Amino acid sequence: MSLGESFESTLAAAQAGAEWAFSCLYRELNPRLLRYFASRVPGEAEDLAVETWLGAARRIGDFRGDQQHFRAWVFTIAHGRLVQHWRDARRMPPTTGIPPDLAGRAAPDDVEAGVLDCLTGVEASSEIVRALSFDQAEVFLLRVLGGLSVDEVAGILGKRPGTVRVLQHKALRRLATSPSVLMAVNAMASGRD
Amino acid sequence: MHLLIDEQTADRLVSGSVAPDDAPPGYARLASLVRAAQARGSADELVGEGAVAAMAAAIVSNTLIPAPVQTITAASSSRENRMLSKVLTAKVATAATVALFGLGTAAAAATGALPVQGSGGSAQGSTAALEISNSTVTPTGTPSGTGDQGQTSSGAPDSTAGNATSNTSGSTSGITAPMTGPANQHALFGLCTAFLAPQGTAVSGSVSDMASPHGGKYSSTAFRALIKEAGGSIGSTTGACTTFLQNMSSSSSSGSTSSGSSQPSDSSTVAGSGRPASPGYSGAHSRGGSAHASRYSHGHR
Repeated sequence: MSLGESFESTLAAAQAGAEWAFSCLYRELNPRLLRYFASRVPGEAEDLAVETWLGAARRIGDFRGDQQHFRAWVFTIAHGRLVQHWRDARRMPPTTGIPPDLAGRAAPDDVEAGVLDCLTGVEASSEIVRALSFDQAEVFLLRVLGGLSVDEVAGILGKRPGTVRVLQHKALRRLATSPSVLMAVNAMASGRD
Repeated sequence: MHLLIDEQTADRLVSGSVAPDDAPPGYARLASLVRAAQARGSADELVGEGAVAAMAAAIVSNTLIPAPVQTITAASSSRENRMLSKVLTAKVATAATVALFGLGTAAAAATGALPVQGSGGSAQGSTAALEISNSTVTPTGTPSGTGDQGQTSSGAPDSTAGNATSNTSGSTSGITAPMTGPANQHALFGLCTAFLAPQGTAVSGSVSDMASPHGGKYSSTAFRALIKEAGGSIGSTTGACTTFLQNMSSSSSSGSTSSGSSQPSDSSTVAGSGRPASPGYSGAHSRGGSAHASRYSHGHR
């Protein structure tokens, strides 16, 4: 977040009901929220993000903390909303794996020939989810996008901090060796070139 | 490839603080991926900023202001409480009234104040009650047996009344039927008073005012029955009621009330004003109460 020292005044204004303050917070956090939801439920990302903001607005008067804590707080609401969405839909979260659209793409050593566009934030998040298991992806997304600490992630997911660290290590190694991630990053690099 | 990293490096990679060029061997592309995921938002990701900010601000503003819904709920709750207390009060009052009437009826039954209905069995029961009452309260009130003029249209004997009552009923020619008991005397007293009262005005006691019908006043069931008993005409009913009220007044002034009859205690003024000073029902109760007291005292004696 780039609000810096102005975060406290912005938060106070938001807690007083100032629309401009919510605009500032929205600009800082909504892209990550969208990526988090888009990587999980692509078709519902925007709706879930809006619901998260409205839920945060209902409870923002009780929030105390700095901007790092605020981001973690918003992502805690987002995770709860996502779980509720899955409950409402009565279906399991989507399984991870190599997407079928990547099957016909070029090999990692032939990236420039197959992919021209650079990788966006949503695409990067989606690649993370595709390469990881459900728990690994949840830990990784909350750590990367939400900026939550290991203890905070453990609290949200109902796991022990040691388990979260193990999941995080496995996720890092898997992402480092995943052909899809390798291909996506190469595509991003070729796009910048 | 050696991919083992320590916890600090893992945390730095996850937080995006490691540049791809500074990443450990094998993690450079991962660092790029993390940075891409944490990149600033594009314009597409900020669509709806105004709407969401406005809704969030409205929610916060509504949260800060005392919610009218809660006020309404509190007010309605207090109204419900008041309504509940009213209902409970009404129920308690109703129960008390029923209990009071029940006690009054029981007392009236014990003292023979209940009207005698057509069956002989009930008449006998009432007579027995009266005998008990007379033996304890009014020793001088000997049962008159089947009264001379006491034959009613229903055939019920009027022997349950005392002497004064029998005399009163005997003198009210034409309206003898409901006058077989003290309670009926009270009822007839009220009915005659109402019959003689002009419609919509205070009771004047002037019989001449009652000669003509007062609109639909006489169309009530009670008045029609009264008129029928008194001969079928308003004039005869007026005369009978006047005579009845006068007799009531005279019997009251002669002290017959003290013998346990059911006349209002202040009938002399009632006859003048046409309005009972004390309702007949209260008179019956007071009499019943005194009867109870006398009976208890007599029993103790």
